[in-house]
Amino acid sequence: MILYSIVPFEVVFKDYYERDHQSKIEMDYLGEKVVVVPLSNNRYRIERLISTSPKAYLNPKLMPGSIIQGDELS
Amino acid sequence: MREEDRVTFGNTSVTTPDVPIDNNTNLDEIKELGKASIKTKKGNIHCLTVIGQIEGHMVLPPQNKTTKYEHVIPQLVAIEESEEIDGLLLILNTVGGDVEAGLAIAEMIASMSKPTVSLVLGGGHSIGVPMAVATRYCFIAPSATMTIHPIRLNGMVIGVPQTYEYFDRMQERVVQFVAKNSKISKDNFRKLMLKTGELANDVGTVLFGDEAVKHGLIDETGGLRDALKKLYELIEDDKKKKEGNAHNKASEELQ
Repeated sequence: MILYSIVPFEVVFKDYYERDHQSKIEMDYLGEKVVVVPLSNNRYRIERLISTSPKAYLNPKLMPGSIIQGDELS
Repeated sequence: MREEDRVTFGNTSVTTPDVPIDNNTNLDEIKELGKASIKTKKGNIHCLTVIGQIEGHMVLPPQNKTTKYEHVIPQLVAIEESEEIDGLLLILNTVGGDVEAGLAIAEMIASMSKPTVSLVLGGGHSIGVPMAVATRYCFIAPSATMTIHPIRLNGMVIGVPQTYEYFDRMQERVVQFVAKNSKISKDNFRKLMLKTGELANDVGTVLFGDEAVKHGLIDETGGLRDALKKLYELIEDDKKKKEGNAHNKASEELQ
């Protein structure tokens, strides 16, 4: 990978190896496959959407970073 | 073609110019198909904001704010395909990022058929430069800056001439894309990239808003108002062109 940025490589990748790797789970949400990271209180944060439907990527509920309740997942 | 057909067709092609085929098409569609795609007079736009680092093949540590390319690329497909969206406004405030991911997004935007306008606020550095010029028309805020500098080496570097060659070629991809999509020449862009005495610990150039315009990199300085106005203008032009084409095609078929 070539980084082309004004931020130095060392700053961008600080703690890259030290950080604890969060457990990521693949689940279904609103009929689409999403990769989520569990948070506290039965909440999950979307990390990534896996779908072949371009429309799904415009749905704000499926954007990476949005928080969802655990009981909405299957 | 029979004589009477020719007469009727001839008549319609004379009376139709400039008049939309049917003013009630929208209304009929709602009644007949239950489709509610009424468009606002000016058109609908989608706003895509690119912030922080452009995240590419590697997931960056959490202290970075990132724009994920695997999410943006299908979004661009959806925008291009959607009947509800007429144009794209790209807002940039980025410090750069992955070359491949940035160029991928830039190429996607450059090859869209819908009107696109970009607005650089704060900063559009490094790989943000090709992304800014990828749109049909670009604006930069007067206070915004763009840093143009060479691609740096990272990871394992083998001290052979081929390494230099390789990086030169990687850099050439950026230079070519920018020269193709803006008014700056390849030589001038390379000169800015390799300029010394501008940056504290690097070669390269920092361009302020109006300097970027002067070099032909960006089309105009402006803000949100100007960017939106231009986008609606482009949408309007596109609609007219489409109507004109449809009309020409129809009259050609009739002849």
